[in-house]
Amino acid sequence: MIESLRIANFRCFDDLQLSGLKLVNVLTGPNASGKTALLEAVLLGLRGTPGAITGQINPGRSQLLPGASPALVFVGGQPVLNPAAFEQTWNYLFGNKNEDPIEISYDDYERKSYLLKIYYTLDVPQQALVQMPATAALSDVKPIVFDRIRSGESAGKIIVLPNFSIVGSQEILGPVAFYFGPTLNYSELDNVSWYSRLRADNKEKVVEDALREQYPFIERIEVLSPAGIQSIWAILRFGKKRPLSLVSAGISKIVSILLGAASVTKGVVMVDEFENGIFYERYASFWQALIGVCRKNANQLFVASHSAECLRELANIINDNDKDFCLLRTARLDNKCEVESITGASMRDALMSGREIRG
Amino acid sequence: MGNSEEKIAHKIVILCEAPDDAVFLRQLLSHNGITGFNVFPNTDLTKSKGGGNTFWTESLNSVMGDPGFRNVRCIAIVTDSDTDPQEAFAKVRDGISKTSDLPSSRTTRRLPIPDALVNIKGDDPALVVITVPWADSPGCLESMCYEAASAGNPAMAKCVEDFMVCVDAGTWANANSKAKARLRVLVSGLYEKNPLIWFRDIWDKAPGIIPIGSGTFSKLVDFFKGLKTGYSP
Repeated sequence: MIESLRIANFRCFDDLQLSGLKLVNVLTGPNASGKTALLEAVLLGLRGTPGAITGQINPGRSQLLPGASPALVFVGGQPVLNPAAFEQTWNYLFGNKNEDPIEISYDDYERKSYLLKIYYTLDVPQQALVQMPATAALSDVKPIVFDRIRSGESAGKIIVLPNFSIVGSQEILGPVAFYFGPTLNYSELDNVSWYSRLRADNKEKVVEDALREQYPFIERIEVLSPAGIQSIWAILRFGKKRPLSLVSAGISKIVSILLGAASVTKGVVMVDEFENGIFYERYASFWQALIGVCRKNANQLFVASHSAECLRELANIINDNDKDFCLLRTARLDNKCEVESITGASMRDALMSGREIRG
Repeated sequence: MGNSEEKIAHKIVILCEAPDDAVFLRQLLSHNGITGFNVFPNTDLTKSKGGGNTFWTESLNSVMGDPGFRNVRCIAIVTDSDTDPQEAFAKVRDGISKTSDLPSSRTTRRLPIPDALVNIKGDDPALVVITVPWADSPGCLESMCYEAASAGNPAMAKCVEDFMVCVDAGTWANANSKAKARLRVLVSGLYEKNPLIWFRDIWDKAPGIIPIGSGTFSKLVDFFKGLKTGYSP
């Protein structure tokens, strides 16, 4: 579980330091104040791989997907690099125009430390350059390096060459992390994989019980593949079966998050815009189910929300467990983002007294 | 759930015992042109009503959770002296000591705990506790208000004392109850339109009954003027 976190030169964060992070960390604040950027930084720091950016962070922001723009273009029949395609993949991550290295470091409660540095450099091993096209001019566009350090020792560098070739092991740096963005449609492949893993270990009940308690018309869920593509299906009362995503996008979202959280231990689960797609009367039960699963599996939770109704439901859930909660309130000051950490007790009592805590 | 609709917008926050106290203090500040304060009643969060000289911990925690707390430079806690100002002060100190850590934007970790009534402690934020009528006098807000109201109505005040004798209030153990009874009878006697008028409505609907400009309140006024000069000039 992450105890403290430092984020430097990443998006809107100059040099953010947070400590005393808890089992449940609730993020709130205005638009463009850094909530999603903070979640992205946590994800990136935990994964420590370019795939976190190309596979989740950039697509989540509707930014360039790898291959959307060719890494190489042909001029006069000769291949030359297309710097824009490469640089646009990474440039948005840097906090300033100088492209000072991004640094994301964190310490966990078991005294392990992790550091990820991301920077452009021409200083890459010659063997890496073998993968570059013969005509590529490195002076035009520099490779980007993911330099990873675990408890003071190198955990390997990952180099992404300007033609998007990757050199180095893409082993994740820290604990397993799942990021659920503001959209409602998460990967069905992940859902199937998580459910299957839980089912194999006879642990799917925790998700099904939570689901049935709130939506009694759903008896259970199952992985089916009537058309040859596996997906999660809802087995409704009286025997009807429907793909879960067709029953309700909101319920499907809840199931995805619960499946992800239940299928990992000592990991980190991040949910952006928690309230999206969920009926207000279900906020409390969703909070309870998710926090319950995370507590049972020792997973740390980072949840962002804009909804006062949704946040208010937390007051009774925090109750006497205030030491397990903290509020991270983001704000944009002088065009930079800052985060203020507020204790679980303050969050609970402010919510109980009807205060506006969102900023 | 309580209902603190007002957000913190000023550098000085006053926490007092109940909504009625908050209305009085807002009137007092406004009448004297003292700006730059938010006044919040202490609240029993479980019952959504005034918390008296308890629930300071929860109320302070709640204030610390407000986004506007970032700019607060001073917290003033106003409580009744009751029979012993030092005893009342000890209860507040106990409440402060049980609050959670301050938000991370502060340079210190915990709220300061004043050593004595009226003494300001700390600076990020500063914290001060006062009792009413004052640190050297037993009593409560209602006893102050009665003193202010009865000064302009000596004949009515005599009737009130006769009433107190008649109902054998001398045997009442709680001095604050006597003060509240006196004020209630006086206000009822002076306000035929609605003898059951809420205390908090007096200054809007019958402003002359408890003269907010009375010298009875001058120590409070001077104290708040001093806070304004120091923390919200």
